[in-house]
Amino acid sequence: MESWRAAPAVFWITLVPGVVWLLVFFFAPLALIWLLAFGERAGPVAIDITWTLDNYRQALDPLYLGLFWKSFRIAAVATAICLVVAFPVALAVTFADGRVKPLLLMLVVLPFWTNLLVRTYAMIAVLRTRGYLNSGLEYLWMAAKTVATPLGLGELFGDRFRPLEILYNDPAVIFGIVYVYLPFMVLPLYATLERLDRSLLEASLDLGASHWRTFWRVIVPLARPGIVSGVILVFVPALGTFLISDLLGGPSSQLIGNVIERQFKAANNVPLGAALSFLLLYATFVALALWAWSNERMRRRAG
Amino acid sequence: MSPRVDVSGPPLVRIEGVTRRFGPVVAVDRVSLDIPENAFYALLGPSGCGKTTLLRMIAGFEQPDEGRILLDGEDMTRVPPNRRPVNMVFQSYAVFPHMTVWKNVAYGLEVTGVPQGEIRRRVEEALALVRLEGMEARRPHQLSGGQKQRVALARALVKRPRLLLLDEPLSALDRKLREDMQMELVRLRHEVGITFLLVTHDQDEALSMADRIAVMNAGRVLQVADPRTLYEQPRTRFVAEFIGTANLFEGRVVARCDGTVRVRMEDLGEVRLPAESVGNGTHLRLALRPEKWRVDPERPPAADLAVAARLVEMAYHGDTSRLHLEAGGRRLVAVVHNARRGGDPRLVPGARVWLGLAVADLVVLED
Repeated sequence: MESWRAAPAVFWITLVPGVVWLLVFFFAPLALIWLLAFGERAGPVAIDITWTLDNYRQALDPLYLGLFWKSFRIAAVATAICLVVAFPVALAVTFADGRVKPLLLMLVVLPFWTNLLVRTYAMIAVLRTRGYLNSGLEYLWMAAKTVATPLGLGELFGDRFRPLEILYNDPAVIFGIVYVYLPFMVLPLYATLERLDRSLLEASLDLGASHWRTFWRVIVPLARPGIVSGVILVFVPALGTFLISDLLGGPSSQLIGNVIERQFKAANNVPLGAALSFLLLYATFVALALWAWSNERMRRRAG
Repeated sequence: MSPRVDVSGPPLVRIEGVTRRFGPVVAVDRVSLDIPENAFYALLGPSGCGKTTLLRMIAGFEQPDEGRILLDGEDMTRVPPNRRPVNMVFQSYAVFPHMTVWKNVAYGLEVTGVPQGEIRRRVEEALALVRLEGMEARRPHQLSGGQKQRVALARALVKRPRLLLLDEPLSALDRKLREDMQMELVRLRHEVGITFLLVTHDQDEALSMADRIAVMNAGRVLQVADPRTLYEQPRTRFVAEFIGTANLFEGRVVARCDGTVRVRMEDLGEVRLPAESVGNGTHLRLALRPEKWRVDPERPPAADLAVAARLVEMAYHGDTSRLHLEAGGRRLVAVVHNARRGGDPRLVPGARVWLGLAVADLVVLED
C-alpha cells in the first residue's frame, strides 16, 4: 500500500469518472428529492421550497405508516424465503464439479437476460386461475380421479377441479419478489462459500460432528458475510418494489412503493412522494442498523 | 527400536492391499501396513508419493478403490469420518476462525453430546497439556502459527482418539519452532499414550520423532523400519538417497571363496564382503554414508580400503563440515565433525587426503 501512496495519480485518474457519475446522477437527484420534500405545489409543475414540514406530517398518517409496516413485513418474509432457497443452491454450486460450475452460475443469472416486466408478466401466465400451474394441477387431478374412481375413492376428489387462487394476493407478491431477487442472494452466498477452507469442514467431521451439525456450526457462521450482503441486496430493493406488487398483487396488496410511484405520477404530488421516499430511506437505515446490531450480539454470544 | 512398541501383538491399524486411483494416476498402490499400538509411526516420502492420500483414507475422507483398513481388528473402510475413533491435525491446522480457543477445543465434545461438566474438565486438561492455559478467550486471528498448531493438537487430543493423525504438522513453522514442536510432540505422546501417525516429507522430522517409519515412493511402501535401521541398513537406492546422503558404488564380483566375496568397487579398489550379504549376482550396488569415511591427511593403516582423494570443496555447517572430494575420476561426499575449533586446519580445498572405509559400514542395496 505504501508504494501506491507514492504514486497517487493513478488513483485520482481512475477515480474521477466514478466520482463524477455518482455526484451528477446519484447525489444531485437525491439532494433534489430531499429539497422537494420541503416544498409546496405552486402549480401543475412548479414547486416552491418553503421548508414546510406538512409533507412529512402527511406522510406520517396512520394509513401510510400501515403501508410502511406491511412493506417491511412482505420484504422481510421474501428475504427470508430467498435466503432459505438460495443457501442450498449456493452450496450446491460451490461443491459442484469444476466443469459444470460456470454452467450452473450462468443458470443462476439467466433470468437477468430477460426484462423484469416480461418476467413478471410470464409469472402471471403461470399463476393465474387458468394458468400453467393450475392446468398442470388439473391434469394431475383428472389422472388421479381416473385411477381412484374404479377403486371407489372417486368421491374424495369432488366433481369439479377447483383451481387454486394464487394470483393477485400477498403470497403472489412475495413469490414474485423471491423469484426476481433470488440471484442477488445466491451470488454473494456463493462468493463466500467458494472461499471457505474445505479443511474446516473436514475438521468438523473428523471431530465427530455430523454433516448436519457441520452445516449449522461451521458453514452457516462462516457464510455470515455472504448472508449479510445477500440480505441487504434483496431486502432493500424488495422494500421499494412497486412493479411486482402492481402486477401480481391484488387491490389490498399495495405497498409503499406503489404509493410513492402514484404521488410522483398520477397524483402529481411530488413533495409528498419525496417525503415518503425519504421516510422509507430512513426506516431502511434503521432496520439494517438494528439487524446488524442484533447479528453482532448473536455472534459475540456464540463465540 | 524403541522397547515400548510391541510389534508382536495385534496391530492397532491394519492396512490391507489398499489402492486409490485418481483418474489414471495410482496415488496409493497395493499398500499393506501394520501400525502397532502405542507407536509413533511416520509415513515418509517425497510430495506426491501417496502418503497424504493414505492418511486421508485412514481418517475416512477418501475411500480406497481396493483393500481394507482395520482399526482394532474392525473394518473401518466404509465408516464415515465422524464415526471413527481417529482424529487429525491438519496441515493448515483448520482451526475454526469463528470460535475462541476454548470453543475450538470443546467443539468435538459438544457435538457428540458429552455433558457440560466433563467438557469443562477435559478442555482444561487438554489446554494444559499443550500449554495454552490463559488463551481460552483468544480468537484464532490473534494466535501465532505455533499456537494455532497447539489448538489443533488440543482439539484432537481432547477426543482421546485411538489414533492421532498428523498431516505435515510442522511444515508451516519456522525452524526453531519446528524443533521445539518436535520435542513437544514426543513428550505429548508419552503423556497421553495415544498412537501417533505422522505424515512428513522431512526425513529429519521422521528420524527424530518416530519409532517406526514407512518410506513411500510412487504410491508404494519401500521399507518399514525403525529410524536407525532405515539409516544404517537402507534396502533400496531410493531409501539410501532419500534418507540422508549416500555415496553409491557399482560393484562387480571378482571372486568367491569360502564365505567371502571379493568385490571390485568401480575405480576405487577391491573389498572383501561376507558372502551372505552379497547374494548370487555378479553385479551389485553398494552405499556408504558420508560420515563413515575416515578422512585423514595420512594413509590410514587400519582401513579395509583406502582411497587417495582430492578435496574439491568444503561446506561448513557448524557442528559438521561436508566435504566434496574427487577420487578415481568420481565425486564422493564425506562428513567430518568439527569437534575442535575450526576442524582440522589441513582440510582446505585442493588438499590431498586419504579416505578410509570399513567393510562393515558398506550397505549392499537390493536394486
